[in-house]
Amino acid sequence: MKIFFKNYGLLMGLIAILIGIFAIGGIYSRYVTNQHAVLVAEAELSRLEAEQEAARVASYLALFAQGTKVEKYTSETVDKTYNLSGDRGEFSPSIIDSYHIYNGDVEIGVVYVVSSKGHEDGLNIAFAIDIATDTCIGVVVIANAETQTIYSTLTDTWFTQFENFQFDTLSIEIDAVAEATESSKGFEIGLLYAREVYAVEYGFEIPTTNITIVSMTYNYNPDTFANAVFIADVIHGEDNTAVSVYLSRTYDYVGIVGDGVTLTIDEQTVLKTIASASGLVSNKSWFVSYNVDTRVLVMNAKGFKSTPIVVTITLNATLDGIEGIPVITSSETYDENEYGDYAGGPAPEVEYNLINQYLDDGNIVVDGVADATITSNAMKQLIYLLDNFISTLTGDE
Amino acid sequence: MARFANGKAPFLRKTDDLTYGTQVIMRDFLIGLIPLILFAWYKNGIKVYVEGNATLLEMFYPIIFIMLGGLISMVIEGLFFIITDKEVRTLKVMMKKLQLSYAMIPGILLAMILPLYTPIWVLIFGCIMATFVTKLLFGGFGYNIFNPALIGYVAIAFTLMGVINKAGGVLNGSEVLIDAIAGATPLSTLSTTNLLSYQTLVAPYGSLWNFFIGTIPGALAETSALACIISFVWLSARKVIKWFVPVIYIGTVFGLSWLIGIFNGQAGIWFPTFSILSGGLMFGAVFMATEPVTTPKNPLGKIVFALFLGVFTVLFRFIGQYPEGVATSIIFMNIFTMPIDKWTSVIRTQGVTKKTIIKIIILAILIIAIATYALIKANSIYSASIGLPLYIGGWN
Repeated sequence: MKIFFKNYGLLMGLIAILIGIFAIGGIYSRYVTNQHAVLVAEAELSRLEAEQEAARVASYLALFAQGTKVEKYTSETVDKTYNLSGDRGEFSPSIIDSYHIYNGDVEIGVVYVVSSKGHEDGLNIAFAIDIATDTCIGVVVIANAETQTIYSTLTDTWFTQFENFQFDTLSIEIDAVAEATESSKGFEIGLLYAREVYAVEYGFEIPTTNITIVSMTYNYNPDTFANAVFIADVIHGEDNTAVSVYLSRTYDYVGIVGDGVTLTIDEQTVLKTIASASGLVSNKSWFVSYNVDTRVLVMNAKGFKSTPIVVTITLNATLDGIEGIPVITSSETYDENEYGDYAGGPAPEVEYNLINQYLDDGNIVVDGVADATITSNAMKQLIYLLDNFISTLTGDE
Repeated sequence: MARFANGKAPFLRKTDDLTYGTQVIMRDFLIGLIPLILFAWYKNGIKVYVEGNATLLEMFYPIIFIMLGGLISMVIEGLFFIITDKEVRTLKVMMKKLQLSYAMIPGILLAMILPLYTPIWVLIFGCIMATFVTKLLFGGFGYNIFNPALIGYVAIAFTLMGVINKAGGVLNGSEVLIDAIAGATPLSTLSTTNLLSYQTLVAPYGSLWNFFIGTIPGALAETSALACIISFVWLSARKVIKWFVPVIYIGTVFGLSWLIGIFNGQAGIWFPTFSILSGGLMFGAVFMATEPVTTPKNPLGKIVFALFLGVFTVLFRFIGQYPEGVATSIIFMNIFTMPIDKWTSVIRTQGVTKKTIIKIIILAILIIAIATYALIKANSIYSASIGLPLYIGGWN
């Protein structure tokens, strides 16, 4: 062994050193390379974000014909809550970014990037506001997590309503696309919130009138319920006059209940806005007609599809129950994105499921069908109205 | 007052002592490398660490990488001695032989001209090519034809540059964060964009002052012209190198680049300055073109050698696969070291005679022809060509 090491020890030692350099140096080199790769990846991400931000800023600037410069700033925090469409509760939007727009050194506009909510969170919209005219001159959608097949129904034409939208409009209302009501509402919430922040930062006065809703209920009168779906008790005018008014399913003013001082046009406009945002009633289902002679009641429920579910009910002779099984016509489809996991049969299975639960025990508390939530909710509302209508006829209410 | 030796010829200077002289030269040569090594460590390690773009371990990598290059070369040469020389059986004997053959120098030089993120196994490969193939197989120290470090570099550049780029390339942790640089050295920017403009070639890296100081992307230890000049002054003062070789080499590149700039609508001095401060020209001129073994011995030969290096470097920058040109031109000229030495020795000893005038004319024609061709190639690249006669342009 000694001779072996004497002859080959040096050789083996050098080979060991070379292997050591290869192994330990390789680990060291790999460590340095990996650290560098992380840095490069972060730098690339940072570069990408910077490019995206630059593209966004350029798109904001492009909305202002006279704009020459953009300056990012932190806007005021404004707490505001809005009702989401479809009885989905409330939502508080927030400002993600805000930018002053200049022509030279003169500020001519402001851009608020609002995080709103359509069907999903993350509906981020930039609202460009001309401060000389208090006008929203355009929008840029930064990001959205909406169902794209539905979101795509919001066409360029639809977006034109945000161009030159006067903020001194008494009541802001965005025309909703039937297939994309939740996304449409998300834009409306964003615009309303942008106006709130703009009002705080630029001293803009949001126009308003003195009208308050005391309560809202459904109209069960067969003579009027077809056009006047809701009845709202309101206080209005400088002397706080109390009056009950009819409202349509879309919350448009229909008329006064009985006698009283009619509302002004501005009050009617504001009433529509505050009624639709109040969440006091649902317009998911409504009465269409009632024939006293045949005791046939026709009701509609708005599920997922734009065409409503039609439920035809024949009341019994004593008007305290239902005769036979209602006839249901439905074009609901359960294989839409909304119902991706629905495992039952085709329409109107869900509708019958719910109404049969009600017919079984007369209890309006019925169980919804899994993965068909929107249709279920519409039918629950229909059952609620139906039960109340019967109670009204029998004088129980 | 001139000093005269007394006594009978031949006269030997102290530095003519093979052992003593070479040892001193090599010691001074290593000292001359110190400014570049320290700057490489500062630029790629300390500065990046201070800026928060590297860990403590990463900070030491540049200096360790260079030292490893030297160590690997020593180990390879040690192994060679053990295998080929039966007398080398003890550490003491081996170390003595390694000391006399200056085993660490090729590895150190090679590591200095490689990108920072060169994997260690690639460095080992390069050291094998430099030390074993280029130096030892040719007979060892003093017998090699080519510059060992440059052969190692070229072997890597032609085969493994993709691996190096994948591992991180030349940009250190701070440079990679600068958007304007976008992964390129100044010369590679010139090569890829073919835009002869200050805004494209200099502005992304700051100013020409940064080129002079060396805070621009590039190989580990060859970016600082300032450090090269310090080393140049030291080595010239210590008579390790002939001062005129780097001056002529760099001056030729400067002059030709200036002409290229003028022919292409950029008469400013920035382009020739950019040309001499970019890449490894300064490093190559000071440490490679002056290497005593692989370059001509007599002064006229060194001048001719440096002139050819200058024109070839400019030419290779425009016709070569790689944007650098320094390594390939030096290796190429290493082939002609012996004939240049022979021709110029005759000219030097006999002066301008009928016998030597043809040699002088041939050399002059060669230099001018290559320089002209380099100008034409450069001219064909830049669209702003204005200066050359049409019939020359037709050669493109």
